[in-house]
Amino acid sequence: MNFEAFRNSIFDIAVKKGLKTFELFGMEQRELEISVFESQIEHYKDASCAGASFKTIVDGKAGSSFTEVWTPESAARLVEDAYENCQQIDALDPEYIYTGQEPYRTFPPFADRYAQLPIEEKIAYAITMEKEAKAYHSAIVNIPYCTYFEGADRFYVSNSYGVNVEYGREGGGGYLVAAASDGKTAKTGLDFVAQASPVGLDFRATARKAAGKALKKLGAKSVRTGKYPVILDYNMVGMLLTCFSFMINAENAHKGLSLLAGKLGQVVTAPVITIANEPYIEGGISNTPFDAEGVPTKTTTIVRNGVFETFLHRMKTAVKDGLSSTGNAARVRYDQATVIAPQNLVLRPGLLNLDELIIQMGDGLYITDLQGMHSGANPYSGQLSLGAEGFKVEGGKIAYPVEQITIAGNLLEWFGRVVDLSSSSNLSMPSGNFSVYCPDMYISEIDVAGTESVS
Amino acid sequence: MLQKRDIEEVLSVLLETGGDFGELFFEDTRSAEMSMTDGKLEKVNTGRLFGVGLRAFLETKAVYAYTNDLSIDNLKATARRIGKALKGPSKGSESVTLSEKHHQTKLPVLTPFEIVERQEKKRVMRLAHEGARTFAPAGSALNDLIGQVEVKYLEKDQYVRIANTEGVFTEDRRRRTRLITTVIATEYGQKETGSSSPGSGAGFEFYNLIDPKEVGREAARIALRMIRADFSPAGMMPVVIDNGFGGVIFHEACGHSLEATAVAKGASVFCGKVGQKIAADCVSAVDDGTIPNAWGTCTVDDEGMPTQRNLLIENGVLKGYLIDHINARKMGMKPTGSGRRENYTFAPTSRMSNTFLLPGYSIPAEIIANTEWGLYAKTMGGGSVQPTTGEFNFAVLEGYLIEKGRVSKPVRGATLIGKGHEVLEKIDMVGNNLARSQGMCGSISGMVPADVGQPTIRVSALLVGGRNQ
Repeated sequence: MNFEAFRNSIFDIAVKKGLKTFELFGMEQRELEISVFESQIEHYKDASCAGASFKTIVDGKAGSSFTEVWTPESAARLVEDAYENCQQIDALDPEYIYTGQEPYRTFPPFADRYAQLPIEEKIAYAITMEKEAKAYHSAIVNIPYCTYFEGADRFYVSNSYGVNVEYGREGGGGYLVAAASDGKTAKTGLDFVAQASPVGLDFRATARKAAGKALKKLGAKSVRTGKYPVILDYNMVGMLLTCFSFMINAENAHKGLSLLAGKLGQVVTAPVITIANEPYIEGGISNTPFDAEGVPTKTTTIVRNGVFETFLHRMKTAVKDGLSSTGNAARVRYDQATVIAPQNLVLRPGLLNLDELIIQMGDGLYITDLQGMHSGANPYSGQLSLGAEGFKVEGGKIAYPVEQITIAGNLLEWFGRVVDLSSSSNLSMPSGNFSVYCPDMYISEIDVAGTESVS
Repeated sequence: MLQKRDIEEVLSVLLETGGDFGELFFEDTRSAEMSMTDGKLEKVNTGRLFGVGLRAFLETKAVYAYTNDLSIDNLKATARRIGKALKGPSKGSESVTLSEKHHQTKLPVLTPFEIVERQEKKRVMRLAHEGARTFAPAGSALNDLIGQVEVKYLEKDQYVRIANTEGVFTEDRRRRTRLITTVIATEYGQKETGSSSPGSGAGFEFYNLIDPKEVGREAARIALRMIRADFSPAGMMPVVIDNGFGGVIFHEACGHSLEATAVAKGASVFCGKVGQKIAADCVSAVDDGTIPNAWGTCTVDDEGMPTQRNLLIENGVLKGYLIDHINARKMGMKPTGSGRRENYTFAPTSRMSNTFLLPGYSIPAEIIANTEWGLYAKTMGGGSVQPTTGEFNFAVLEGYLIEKGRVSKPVRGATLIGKGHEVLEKIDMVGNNLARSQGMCGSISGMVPADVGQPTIRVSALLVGGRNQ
């Protein structure tokens, strides 16, 4: 059964049941993953699935239910479950379904370019990546993870107001972990590449970067406990922005869970910081013309030169605040509830390149890895206490690699102490269901703990 | 529902097109998630996942596919596609004969979720909410600090049918439920959280065995303790880690590095060390997937093998790894009933189930009394590890200073980091109070429920990260 047929049968059942306001969110996913180890395919995954989630609103209360079984019996159960679920709701803020008054921006059509590449070519990409990383240096002893991946998603939103939209997007790339050893200790380096089109994917460059990262960390030592100026690598900045996205979520603000609640119009970060949500980035893998509620997506400046301008909204939170939705309703998949999330969260870059930023800092730490974000970063309190690795910077130059240190503080305090940002805008390591584009970040002071004793 | 003959046909295709082993994993899962904010039920989402994962091996190569189009034609076409990806010799007709085997369930259920009204589930959530709201006396200054109470109720009823070309044909039904309470305390624009999240591999009867109110009280207690705490000191120091969820240190520092996923590739610090001393004498640990109704228990693993109790470390000596089917081939060792996956969209790999340090002889109070100065980590948050290097980290949710052998003031914002193989040697006291606690463990085969556990232990020196005094 296809989406349209399934939708029609569900909508018939819903109307017969006397439901007036309802929506169906559908999704088809395809993914391919090829992992190699020592030039052999170690793991190969070729998969597809499809499912749908039905939501109905009765007296402002929403209930939803999902399924992967697209049969008439399943359709009936779906409608019944959603209706029963909404009977239990006692939250007071009403839910809404999009009535479809605004036009949608036209995005490039879905081309399914990855699917057209021969499979041999994809296997070769993964093997090339592994070989290139190993050939980088004799100290690269192992490539524990080396994967080519691609995927395509098609989204459908249809509702009782006649909204009926669909969008397809695709992306692919690779990632690898290179392990280097000096005979005494091992260090790993990770790098990835991901883009909407397979044209111009440079797997060799990715491999060299991962190997280079591992190699440069060999011989690392800890530092003395103290306060240090710090430059955070853009991938780490991306992790912090993912944590920050919790605070700019209107739903969290309404529940009193966000540190930014009540701070609209106030200075919340250093003036160099401007953060926006972008629905479309050239070559991006998280672009979408409409959100999970069918609302057109748009560019929204969240923080402008340090001043907090708006939360991200979906229909329910926007109406509560007397605003229009910013088009940020999101669903990872049909089995997940609707949440608020950016499409592409973008931190505007500065003017200096990374080397110049390091010279500007003079002495301090350049942090390239953070461990424990999911436990050591508390989005409610903004408290961060994380394991870290990177390099000691002395006299504007990288002096030696650093390991076994921790950095601690509060996210908003760190953002308040940002001196400058590098000039690059990079896709950071994906860690949520959206993309983050950001530069490297120079923070004037961070608490660091290390095992090196005071001499 | 797939019939035996259909499954045999699909498995035959996996062999015919080039595999030397084929496996089919069918799943039909119903789940419900209910969220309550401030005592009001806000979201209810229920649903059904339904699909098949197909896997084939040729020697140590593995291919995987999943689909939720369960028509026999699609399954055979999918099998053919991945079978060919193995690039093995295609064979003539191969027949597979399955003989069904049932195993005594390790997850017996008294009250299945589907016979419990939604209102009853809501009542349990309300109790947790009330427990949090009434922990501090109504109208007291302390009670005013409680900014928000969030309660989540989860239930999952997973039915799986697993068959492979070695003749395995079995099924398992895993029902699990969890009550997650998070309390946010707010003072002077700062926020701190406390949480408590018990779960079980049981039906709704679980809520007769625990007091949902106590779950809320525990979350409130931690949040209120931490909101007025000073920041933790930073640096190397002795750390006493309390029992229960404290076991996350073993889970991260050692458990992940004993999974064949890392070991088979030589990407673990514990490679080739079976029979060798890797920990202090007082350290013994097991992974036991058989504990009745435990959060991490399955009757059979996701490869159809009955779960078992695996001794990992005995008196400091490494006894074995956690091994799944494909890695067993690579390592030339036997699988240990440890093949797990979040659902049919993941190929299984070696994972922990219920993993814990075995009890020692020290009385918890004497561990504290024997510590002149250090950190007492009473409640742990989650953590992570890099198995290749053994570097781990995890967060302390509720911490205290130990001064002159006594627990003194509360401290917040501490994180513990180290290298697993080094920390195992530094465990110098092990208590007699083993307890287990529930968590969700993430790895390449998705998020799976896992128990962590330990008695109270002391690590003689560990790097504590925090803000400086």
